[in-house]
Amino acid sequence: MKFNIRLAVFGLIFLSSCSQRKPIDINDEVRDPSEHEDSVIQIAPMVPEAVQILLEEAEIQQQNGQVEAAILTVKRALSISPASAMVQQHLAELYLAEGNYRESFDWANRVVNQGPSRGSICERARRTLALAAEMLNDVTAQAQALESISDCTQPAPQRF
Amino acid sequence: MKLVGFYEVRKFVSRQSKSKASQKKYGKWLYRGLLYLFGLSIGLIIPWFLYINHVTNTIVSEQWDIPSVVYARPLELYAGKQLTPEALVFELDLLGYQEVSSTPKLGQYQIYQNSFDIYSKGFVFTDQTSSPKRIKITLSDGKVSQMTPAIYRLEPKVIGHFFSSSLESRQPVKISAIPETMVKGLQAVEDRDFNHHHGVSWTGIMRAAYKNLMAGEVVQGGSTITQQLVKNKLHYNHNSFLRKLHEALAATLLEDKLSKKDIIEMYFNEIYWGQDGKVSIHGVAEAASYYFAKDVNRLSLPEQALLVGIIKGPSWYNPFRQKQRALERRNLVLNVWRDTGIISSNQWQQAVQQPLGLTNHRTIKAEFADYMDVVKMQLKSQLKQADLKQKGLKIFTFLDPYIQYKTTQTSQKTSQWLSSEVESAIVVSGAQNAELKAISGSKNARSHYNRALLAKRQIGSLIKPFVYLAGLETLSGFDLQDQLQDEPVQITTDDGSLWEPDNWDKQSWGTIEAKEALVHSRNQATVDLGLKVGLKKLINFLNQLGLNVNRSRHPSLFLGAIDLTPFEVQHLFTLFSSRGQHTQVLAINFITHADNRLLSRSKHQQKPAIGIANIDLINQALYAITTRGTAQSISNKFNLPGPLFGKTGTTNAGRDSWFTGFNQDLLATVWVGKDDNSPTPYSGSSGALVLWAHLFMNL
Repeated sequence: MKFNIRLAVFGLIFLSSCSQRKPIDINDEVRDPSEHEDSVIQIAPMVPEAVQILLEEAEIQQQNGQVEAAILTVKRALSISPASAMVQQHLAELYLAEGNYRESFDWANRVVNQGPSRGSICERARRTLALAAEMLNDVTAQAQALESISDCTQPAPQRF
Repeated sequence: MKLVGFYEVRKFVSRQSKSKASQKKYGKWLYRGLLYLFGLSIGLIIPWFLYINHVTNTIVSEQWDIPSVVYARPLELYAGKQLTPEALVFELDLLGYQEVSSTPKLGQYQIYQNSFDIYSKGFVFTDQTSSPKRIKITLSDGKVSQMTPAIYRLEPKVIGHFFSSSLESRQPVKISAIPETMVKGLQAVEDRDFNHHHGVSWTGIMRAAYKNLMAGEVVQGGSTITQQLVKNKLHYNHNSFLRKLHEALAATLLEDKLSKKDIIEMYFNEIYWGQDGKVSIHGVAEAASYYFAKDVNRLSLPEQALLVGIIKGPSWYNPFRQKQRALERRNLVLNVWRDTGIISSNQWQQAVQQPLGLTNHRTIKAEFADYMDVVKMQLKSQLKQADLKQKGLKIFTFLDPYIQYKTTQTSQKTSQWLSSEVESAIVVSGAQNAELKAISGSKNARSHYNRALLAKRQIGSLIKPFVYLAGLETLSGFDLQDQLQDEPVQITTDDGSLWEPDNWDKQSWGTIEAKEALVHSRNQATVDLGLKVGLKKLINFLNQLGLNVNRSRHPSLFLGAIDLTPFEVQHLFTLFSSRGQHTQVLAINFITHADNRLLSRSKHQQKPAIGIANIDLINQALYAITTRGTAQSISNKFNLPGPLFGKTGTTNAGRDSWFTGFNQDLLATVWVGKDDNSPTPYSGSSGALVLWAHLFMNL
């Protein structure tokens, strides 16, 4: 009996340490690793200037710890450009930072399915998807997303 | 002598005993009187005092029922936004802005050709505050071509409230938000001794009594602001001596419990300021919004004076109905303010020359009742009714007032464009984001029956894109180039009866490509596909999309023998317009507490796992329907710019005429039919499509 209680306590500690993943820093875990020098040519998406302004505002809000406000600001941008993968990816990342993994997963999945298949947004979407899937304990989706990250980059053409 | 003496002694004794008796008697009476007074105070005065004390405690601790407010979406302005001058003027007028011919001040705008100079009012949004600003916009080709600043949100229009049973509209504000001139000005007009008395002004009462005596009637009240507050709180509607006594004691006690600042703040938030239909306007913030469509801290001097002036009799001085009377009253208040030094002579001179400056946003007809039905429905699962009616929540919706206006107009023209015998319902949402923009439940503005939300009608051929999508999703190797048989078919149903579907033209086209069968809405070919999919699989598929199809086990389901409301149809077609991202149309964006803290954001339901490639294939067919199929009149007759996507639907003898269609921005479902389900002469393309086309032409 004593042994069982010890085992249970040990198990609980072990499991709790597993679940205590540090909060996700989207800059460290999503954005920075997705910026490559040798990546494909980045194509600036066609969005109104207003969208860029709103994304910058959201960035500042997020840096100030106002994630809820940042989400509402990005949603404003999304109302202007609902099909913009860049805006959708920002939303996915903010949901990830907020700990709203289901929403983050859905938006990142949308970017993966309908967004660019090369470049930084492509990679950020897959990294976001993988992290959200991890938090949702969806191992298969996490593995698939991690596998597909390399598809977003290709070696730069050889220069002669 | 002795006898005399004896008698005298007796008399004396008798007199003495009489006086003693009378003394005793008086003493008894005095004693009784004191006892009576004691009894009175124990039995009446003390309970009365305790009662009034309790009443004042209630006043001090009373929490107002603050109605929740429902807002439309704020108009987002930026270069590149699609916006016509008509739409912008509509929006500005709806928000209570005044058009002027000179440089605009706060809450005004000026138009020069296609350029707008707007001085916005500002609004505290949850994510940030929009400060009042001069916005300069140039419109050309239906778009904002130039704008400074680069982006700006106008304040959102209030489209509804959730009131408690008292039907009081009120938004409490702190005294610091009320202009100082108004605070001082109220005292100058209503109670000059406010800072010096203790609830009751005896000099005021004497002055009023003297004036009333001289006039032979009641011409002046002697009530202080505190007494008026008590009167309002206790809902005393008529004056009697006892009531006045109540008021006086309660006012005195209230002054002990609250500071002067608290009393004046409570007064400004409590007082009755007028009537908007069934709803009574209470508090200065609500009054400022009702009469001037402004925040209270933005009121000009003459506007402040008008509000202070009409407190005396909001109905008698109603500025909307009694303009001259209200103007005279306002100027009288301004005179008092000048005489008491609250404003300077210069300020007075400018103020008395101003017109009343009332907002005209009340007179603009915009139907939000049908939209509010959806808001109520979608809030039901999220919030308690008590919270909605008491806690002053702010509900931000996706309603687009201009699209709503055009949708209502389209519905109302059903009789003109079709016939007076049919009814209509229209639902409009964002094509890609599934945000509900507008809804109309009837052609009749007075109708309380919201057909868009409540009328379950057979959808006919609107089901076909879903039958073909089910084929693509469930049949291995099937695509829209596969051949189907558009031929007579007989099916024995579960109840043993024979079902023989026919085509609308009573012809059979034989072997036909699946895509063409969908484009031309062939019934027999669709049944052929439906049989391949299987009824059970189709029902499972439709349930996966969010429908609850349990009753219908008849193969007529392949041809749309299922009852849905226009709103439910809108949900379904969102799947196509959003390329599989949404299957649910939402009215509510987010909800905040009264202090703007976020309470909840709306979430879309998890979307069904349907391949985008298959949805795109159906969308190609929906596009072909609008160019060469059953809805080709959209392109040929109405010349609407494409690309457009859509599907017609007709049930037996034109009982229901449907059209659901979308472009890059908007998805709209239109239903036309009769409430008693009797036949009409309309098919989907000759009925609902006509309204749809007019709506899209006018947006």
